[in-house]
Amino acid sequence: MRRTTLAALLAGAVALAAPAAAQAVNVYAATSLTNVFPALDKSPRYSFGGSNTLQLQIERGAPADVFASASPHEAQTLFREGLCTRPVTFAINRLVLLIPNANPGNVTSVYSLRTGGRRISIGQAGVPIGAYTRQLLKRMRLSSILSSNRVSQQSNVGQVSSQVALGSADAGFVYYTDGLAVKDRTKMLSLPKWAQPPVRYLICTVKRAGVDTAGAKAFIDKVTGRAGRGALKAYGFGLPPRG
Amino acid sequence: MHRQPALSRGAFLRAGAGALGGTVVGVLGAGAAVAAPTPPAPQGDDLGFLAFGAVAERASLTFYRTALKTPGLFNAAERRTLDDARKAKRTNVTKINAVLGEDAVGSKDFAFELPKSAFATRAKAVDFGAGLEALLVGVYLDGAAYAADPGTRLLVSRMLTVDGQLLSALRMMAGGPAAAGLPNPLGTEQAGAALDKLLTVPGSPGGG
Repeated sequence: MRRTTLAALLAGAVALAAPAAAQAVNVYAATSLTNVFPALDKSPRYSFGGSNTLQLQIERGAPADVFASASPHEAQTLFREGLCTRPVTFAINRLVLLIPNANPGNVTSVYSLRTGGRRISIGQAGVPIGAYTRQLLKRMRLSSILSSNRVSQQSNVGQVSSQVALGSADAGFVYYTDGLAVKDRTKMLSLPKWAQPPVRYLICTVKRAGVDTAGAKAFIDKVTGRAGRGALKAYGFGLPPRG
Repeated sequence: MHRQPALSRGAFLRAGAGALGGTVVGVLGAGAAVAAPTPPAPQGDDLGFLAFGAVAERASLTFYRTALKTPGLFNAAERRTLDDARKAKRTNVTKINAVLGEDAVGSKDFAFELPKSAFATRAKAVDFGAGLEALLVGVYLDGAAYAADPGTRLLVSRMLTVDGQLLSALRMMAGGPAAAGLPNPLGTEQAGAALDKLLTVPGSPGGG
């Protein structure tokens, strides 16, 4: 009798667990989080891309449960549209100028680019890395380098760092953490602190029919909790004050 | 320690501290001085003059606050002048941020760490403060000449006049003439390198 009951309980437990395991939380996250998020938690189903592209997909009904953007704009827009919960800041980054180890363009600082004629890789204007780069260049009064050099525009920051690492660009504007990811093939040149735009990563639970609210909350708690902060720090991100 | 004569704001103004302001107006020329009150609408890289100003004005504000908090450096009249300067700095930041809009520099975007040695003596403090004002005046001079938008030029020119007067006040505290001439125009490259030594970005990774 007892054995039968136990077997029935086990069968019930398996039946309950199976669909849960099959329905992993869908996390839509900025490309610059490609390495750290899976290192923190392998169980979600990740879609990495430019934050603006992911925002658009969510607006069109993509089955995302969590959205993590590389700038406040995208997450806050979804919040204003009623498509995600109030976003919280969970990481900080900064911009650097990435050059290949061989440095064929002889780039010694961002001001080297004023002389023109080099190959520069940047993000497209709509993607956070592209918007931040243009903002930084305006602050430094260096927007002219985008016309005096050969500029290649990419749809996410990973493509910018790849171009530089492969030697297809003499320099590229990326986040510090993306520079760390290709540090064996590249060098990072610092950009002035005073001109840095505040690079903040925001995360929120997507609001849609059928969203896995509990799973999303558990993931966000993990990212903003001790384990998440440790992983983010290990991958080079800065951290906001504990709130 | 040799203590310079007290300098009140009124005395400073009566002494014709406007001499530097007068130089500023001369440099700007009548065109800028009588420009219609066009609201600033920065074009292209005009933003650079204002973004630098917003950060450097905050650094300068930190200087005046620290100077006022440091006991025994300044007499009562000088403290009033420094307090007026502190208020002028706050106004400058507000005016610039109003134009910067989404690009406004928040009070938590940067942390300013002024060297303790800068406040070791009255002379060092005055010299340090004047150095900061010279950076601002230098960049505003550049902006008054090269900003593309007339409204931005006018705003930068007004900032230049205010900070030029504060620079004169500090020069007079140091025992120098108020009207020692304007500093050279400075690009944001040189001025930014000096400013960067005084600030950190809270939470920024990799020591940035």
